Amino acid sequence: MGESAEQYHRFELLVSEHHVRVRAFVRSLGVDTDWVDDIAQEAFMTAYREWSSFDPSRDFGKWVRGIAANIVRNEIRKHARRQRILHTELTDLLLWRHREATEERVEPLAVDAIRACLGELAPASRKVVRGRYRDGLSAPELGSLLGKSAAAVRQMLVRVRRQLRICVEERLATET
Amino acid sequence: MSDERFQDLMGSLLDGEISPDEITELVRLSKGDPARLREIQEQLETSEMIALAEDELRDSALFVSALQGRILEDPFVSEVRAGIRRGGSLRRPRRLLPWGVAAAALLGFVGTGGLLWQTTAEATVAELTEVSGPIQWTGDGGQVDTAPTGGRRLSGGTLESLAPDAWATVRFPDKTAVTISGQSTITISADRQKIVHLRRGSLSADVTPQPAGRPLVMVTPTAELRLGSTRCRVSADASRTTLAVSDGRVRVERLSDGRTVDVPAAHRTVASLDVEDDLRVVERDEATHFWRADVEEEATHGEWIDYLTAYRRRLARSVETGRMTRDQAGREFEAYASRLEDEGGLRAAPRRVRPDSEWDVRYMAVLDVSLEQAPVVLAEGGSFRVRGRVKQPADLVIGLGLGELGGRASGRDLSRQIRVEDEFDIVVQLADFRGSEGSRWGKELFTWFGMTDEREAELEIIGVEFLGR
Repeated sequence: MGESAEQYHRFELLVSEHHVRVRAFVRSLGVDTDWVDDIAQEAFMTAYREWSSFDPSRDFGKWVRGIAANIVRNEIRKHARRQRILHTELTDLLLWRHREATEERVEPLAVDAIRACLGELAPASRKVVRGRYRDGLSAPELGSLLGKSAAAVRQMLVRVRRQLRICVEERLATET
Repeated sequence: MSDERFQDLMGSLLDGEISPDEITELVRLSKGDPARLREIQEQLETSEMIALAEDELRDSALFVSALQGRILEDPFVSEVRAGIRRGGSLRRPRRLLPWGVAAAALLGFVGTGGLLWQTTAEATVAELTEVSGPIQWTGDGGQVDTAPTGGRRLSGGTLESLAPDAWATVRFPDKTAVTISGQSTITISADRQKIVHLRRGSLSADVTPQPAGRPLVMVTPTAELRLGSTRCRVSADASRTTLAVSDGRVRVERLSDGRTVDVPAAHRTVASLDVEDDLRVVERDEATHFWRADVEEEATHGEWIDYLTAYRRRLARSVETGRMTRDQAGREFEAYASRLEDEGGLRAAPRRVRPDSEWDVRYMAVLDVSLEQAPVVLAEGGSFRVRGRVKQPADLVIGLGLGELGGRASGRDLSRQIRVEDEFDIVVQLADFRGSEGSRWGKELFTWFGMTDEREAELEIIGVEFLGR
């Protein structure tokens, strides 16, 4: 890390600004949801240690996401009892996809935009999202509440996430 | 069809309910198909964003605060922060060679909550803050300290309290405190996260919020506990672990079958080796001023003597040596059983103690008040009724290990010497104990013990009761 308390404070501000995007990125590489924050924190810690090598004219978020990708890549080589990724080959493919798609990639979503789009969902969709993400219910549990099969609930969630993504991207495009 | 199957599998992946075979199938369906890989990536990313928007436990402040905690624990970062505080310009050393470690040691304590360094290359993971009675510390490097004192810095290693009324508190840099009491052994380490192995005995834990995904893990012979922001007590032996939670929530995994339960505040559970036990989470009873010990179940030191079994053996020997016929022995046994009032007694066993600076041997019978029952609180005017027997007259001393209600060990007391003989049934007033009266009112009784220094007396404790007033 740099040479003054001000720089340390600046780092804290950068963390506040970028952590949500880094966490979402880590998850997109197939990291187990329980370990997403752990790996994201490791990425920021590494960034903190390597601060002196960071060029301030570069994009900080992109730099930390690159560090996070390296941590996840190392995870593939680990044969630890508690590997933090869901599946080695899947993560390998997602990392490959990350490298290939760097140019076309749109900026990750923003929480505020997600919240706004959640507010626009139809009541049934809102109910299933709340049940899944706020109350932590599994697909079979949600299914029994809603009178649907677990597979139908999963399909519904896939559609809602797709819908939310489009909504957020449109919202961000309008803002810019 | 394969597209529909892909959607199904992706839904299961996102839901965390995909099997290893299914995930292999998903990989096969996505390999070489950038559109599908993109779909998976976007679904995972959006799912995480929704979780961050909806789950208050994962909000921004908690993430940043957990990261700050990890940065403070990081050895290199701590050293740099010390440099920043000194106001100087500090470059990262290329390697943290011994001279670098020694320099870091000179920096000492790095601010509040900062990392502590020892003069060796081993990083300090905690500090021994309080010690009462005989305590022993064995570091991972094998060095033994038979009389550690408060303020000692601890790397990974094993801490033992060696007497029923002894206790010691270990405090981590984030103020998480673990207090062992009675005859207990823990091993501590803190690499990626705090890990405490409770090998036997009991402890109380006062755990501050832990970094995301890295709770304090407590391992006992029969359970694995995950603690974050909680206050609880745990006791363990080779076959069962008892947990009583005062604040927060603790996740318990029974090692014999991997079953887990969450234990909330004011509740308790027992994880035993026997999977037939149903790992029930039950509400803990209100504190009480009355206790009748289950001497056999609550014994933690001494030899349980089952009177019927012991008498049967004696009669069998008489039959074998021809001093009695089998019929006579049978009649004798029936008569004995019909007049027997107590099932057995706890024979005092030797234990090395250190009353002053020298080690000595006492014969002790020790009972730990079970966490499965209501907390027993000492009250003004209370007394202990003690029943037992000795083979020859002896001086009996009663000892108490005390603690804060629902919290950590924090006191001990001894009675004056009491002369006992034959079968005795005595009442000892709390006022007859040596400690100051005010110091024990309202304290929870953790441990009770009876002891004598006369081996030939063969002290046996048959019953113990506490009566509040």
